[in-house]
Order: sequence, then structure tokens, then C-alpha cells
Amino acid sequence: MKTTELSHEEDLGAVFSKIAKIHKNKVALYYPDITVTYDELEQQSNRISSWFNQKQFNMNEPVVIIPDKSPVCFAIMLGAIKSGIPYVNLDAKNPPSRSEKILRGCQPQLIFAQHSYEKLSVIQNLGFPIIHYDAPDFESKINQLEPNRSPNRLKPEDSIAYLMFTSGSTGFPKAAVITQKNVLSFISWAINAFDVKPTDVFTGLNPLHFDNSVFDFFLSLFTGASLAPIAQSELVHAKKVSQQLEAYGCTIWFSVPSLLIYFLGLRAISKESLPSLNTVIFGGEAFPKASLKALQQLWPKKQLVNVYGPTECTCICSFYKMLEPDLLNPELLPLGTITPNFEYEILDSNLSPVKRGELGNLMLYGEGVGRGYFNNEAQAAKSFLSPGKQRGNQRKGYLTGDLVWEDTETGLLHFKSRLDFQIKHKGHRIELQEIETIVGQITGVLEVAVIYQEQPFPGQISAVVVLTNDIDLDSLESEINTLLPSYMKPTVIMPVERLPKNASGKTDRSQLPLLLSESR
Amino acid sequence: MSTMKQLSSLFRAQLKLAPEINIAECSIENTSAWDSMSHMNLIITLEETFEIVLSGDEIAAMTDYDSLANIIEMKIENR
Repeated sequence: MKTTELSHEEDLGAVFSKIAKIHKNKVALYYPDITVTYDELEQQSNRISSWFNQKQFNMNEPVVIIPDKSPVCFAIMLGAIKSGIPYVNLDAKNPPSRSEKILRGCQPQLIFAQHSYEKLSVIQNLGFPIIHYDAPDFESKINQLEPNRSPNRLKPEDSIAYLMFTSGSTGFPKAAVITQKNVLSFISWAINAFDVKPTDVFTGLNPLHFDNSVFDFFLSLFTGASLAPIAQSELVHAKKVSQQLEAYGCTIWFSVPSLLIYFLGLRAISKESLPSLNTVIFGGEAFPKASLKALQQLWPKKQLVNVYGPTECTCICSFYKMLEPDLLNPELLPLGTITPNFEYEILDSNLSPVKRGELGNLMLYGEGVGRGYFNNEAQAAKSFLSPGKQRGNQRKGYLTGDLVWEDTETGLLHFKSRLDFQIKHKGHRIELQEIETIVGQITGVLEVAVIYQEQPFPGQISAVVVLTNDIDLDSLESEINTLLPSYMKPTVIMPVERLPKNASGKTDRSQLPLLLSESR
Repeated sequence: MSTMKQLSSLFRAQLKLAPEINIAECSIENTSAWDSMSHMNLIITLEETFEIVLSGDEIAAMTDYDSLANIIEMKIENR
């Protein structure tokens, strides 16, 4: 199915059913021991949709999945889409306190978890209903139902497809709301931009709770291509994973640069690896040029593509197909061209457009811009704005907080830095203030300042803390381990007697790198 | 310090293992701290400390402490 056949009036579930009908016997999902056809996925997701209907689940109220990437997880995601129920994928490795914040934030109608999910008792205490998707009784209940999907009565622009949680500066993660219309728009441009064909096989390397997985899931299963999901626990066997992806005949790779660097570092990929792979897409963080050069030398014939996009804007809003001369300069790759489903402005601090070529805050408009934050109007009001109101333009968009500039000769966008304390670390978007808020709540922590240093790759989060006698460094570290997911944990925790302050009494962050380097 | 002693303390430090953990029983499957990130850091540290270069197959075979120690010992002998 090509763009011209993808109707934006149809709901997303109907699009999948249409694709599944055309590619009935084709492999939708590849696993080491089994394959799942489009027809099997269609039947199973219809049964789950029918079960949602039977149980009178409400549309636009989320269900949470703690996924292990098994076929039933994809069937639940598709079943939810078909019924107009948004899904939220929750990281099984989250510390319980973070999961609790996410669950309280989205108030799920139901949580789908594995029977063996080790933190089950914690979420059980919150009182939300839980179903074990790997339990035989769930499977038999579902299998008894007719594979008739329940209708999604909402229009694609009103129907929420999924919620994606991202770091929040207040210490509470916030959920970006992405509608079915947003997703249809995403598929429409991406299918053409990456020339996706039903013969393509996508690597499913990104965790499902992570924004990059939106690309893997929708661009494979909604185009008639195949997906090869890889469990996160498998990544430690990098060479085996690369051999599996090769056996599946993967043609399109998408991951954060860190993962490609990891595969390179462990020599899990070689010149001969993955001969079917023709496109390597990376995004979520900057790709250091030395490693990028190593990748290009390894795979000179594969197209390397840099993509960029905020979670709030359906995964990707710009892309850049790398050319060999890009490796001759030390600068980071450009963000590239804004995709056709967005319009943009580069704004100054008064939210007026800057002159072409000048640095400013990237503002995105158009079909890819999500609806806001779930149950969080106050946060949404800060970033989802109509900056042109005073200029007579009512259109609403998303203010990214990314400082960018446009090359007046090529028209390409380039990233300069963030306007706030948000960072990208190992592909994850993190608000340093969220870490400060959480660490600052630990008994015995008087003051805390968290900084991020990009060099050396993959960067380092450091926390400078003032402690009372109630806590020592070891106890602080173990407390942090229970409160923050691994990618948010400070690598260095440095106790000091007092934090450096500027004239106004605020923490002088500019002195922190020196303080840290002196302690080494 | 003998090579094997150096290796064991390096392994313990990289994975931040508690003193009571018997590293001879550690494998990727049973040691939660031995994840993909610590695996890569461990390999880099091993190569730098012992001045060796490991192949993709050798790295892939290091799935428990025993096999890791055997490969490192062999690489050092053939340096």
C-alpha cells in the first residue's frame, strides 16, 4: 500500500485490517523459533478488540502494557488501536516509584503484565486491574471470541493512538498524546521518504516504551513489511542478535547511535554482516563523527540517515540522508529537512520569527503535532502554543525548546543546543531537574545540582550533593537505584560541603565541571 | 598482582559486585549488573588493561566469568 492509498479518514485499525487482508500469509513478526503471519495477527487483535468491547472499555482511556515484545503484546497494541483505546508501554525495568507515577498519571483501565513480572506486588497495591497476558486462561478466553473487531466510533483526529511518557522537570513523567491522525500522517510521509516496500524487514531493536519504537511498529506492520522484535535482555548477546537480524533478512535498521556504537565496539557487526540491510537510520541523540566514520567505512554501500523529532510530534519531524563529504568535517550531521507533514518557524525569545539563518527556538506545526500531555493541561500550555496570535495567526504548534538555525544556502536545519536543562542521553530525553527533584527528596540530601557533560561519549550525568550526617554515599547510591531508571542515574555522585552560588544566591552551574574535574 | 587476580578485581569493580558474590558463578544470564552497557565497558577495560584486541567471536563467547577468564588468559599468552 502506498501513500495514495492511505486514507486519512479511515481509522488506524481499519488501515491495519486492509494491509492484513492484502498480505494475509506474509510474515508480520519474526522470532527465533516462530513467525507470525499478518492473518494471525489480524485474527488475534480482532479477538482482543472484541474482548475490550465485551468488557465495555472506554475509548480514549488508556490501557498499560508491560511488554516483552512477544506476539501477544503486538496483538494487544493493535487490538487497542482497533477499539480506539490508547495504549501505554511501560518499561518493566522502571523503579517501582517511577512506574507508580506513570500509572497514577494515566489512570489505566487495565494493566497487561507478564505473570513473572517481578515488581507485580508494587503495582497491585495501586488498585488498577491487572491481567497476565502470558497466562493460559487469558489466551483461552480470547480464543473463544469471534475475531470481529469492535468499531472505533471516534474520528482519527479525536482518537488517541498511544501515550508516550517522557521526562518531566517537576519530577513527574508526562505523557505525550498522539492521535491516530498523527500516526496516519507519520506513516504517509515515512513510507515514501524511506521507500518502504512489503519486502522490507525492520529491526525491532528499540524498546517499546521508547519513542523510536513508533517507527519500527507503525512503519513495518502498517505497510505490509515485517518486523523482527528483539527483547532488550538479548542485546547483551550482540553478535547473536546481529546474526539473527541477518537470518531474518533485515533491510531497515533504526536505533539510537549508542546502539550502533555498541555493536561496533563489540565487533558484533562486520563488513559482511547483514547483506540485505540497505538503510541504517539513527536518531534520538547526536552521532559522534569518529564512530559515524567507522560505521560508514564498515558499510559504505548502505544509506545512512539521521532523523530528529520530539516525542510530542510523532517520533520524527526531520531527516537527512548522509553523503560521504559529510564525514570530511568535524561538525555533527544536520537535522536535515522538515518532513512534509510539518511546517515550522524559528522563533526568538519573544516568539517572533528570527531572520533566516539566525539561531532560534524550533516551533513545529501541522499534522504530526500531538494533542498535548495527558491529564496535564498546565504542562501542555507551556509548550503547545499559538505564538502567531498577535500576528493574526491562530494555528497551534509545539515549541520544541531546541535551538536550531537554517543554512540559507542548503535550507537544511542544524541543531545548536537546548534552551533548558533537558538533555539527550543514550537516546533518552531527560530533564536534569527531574533528577534533581527526585534526589533532593531523599532524606539526608540538603542540596543537589545535576549536570551533564557530553564528552567523552556516551556522556556523563553527575550529581553534586550536600549531605547531612543522616546518609552516606553508599546509602544515597542505593536509594537512587530504587528511584531512577538506569539511564537517568548519575554516573558520578560527588558530596561537597556547599554548592557554589552566584551573586543572586542561585547554584552556579558553570563552576560544577571544574569542581568535578578537581575531584578526579 | 597475578593476571587472574587482576582480572577478577577488574571484573568485580566494573560490574560493581558485592564482595560476597562468587564471581566464578557469574554469567550474563544470572548477573543483573552484567547488562549490555557494562559488557561493553568491561570489554574496553579488558583490552586496555591487558593490551589485547578481542575478536567479535571471542567477545560473543564471553558469556560467563569462566569463559571470559579462559579467553583473556589465552590472548595474553599469545600476545
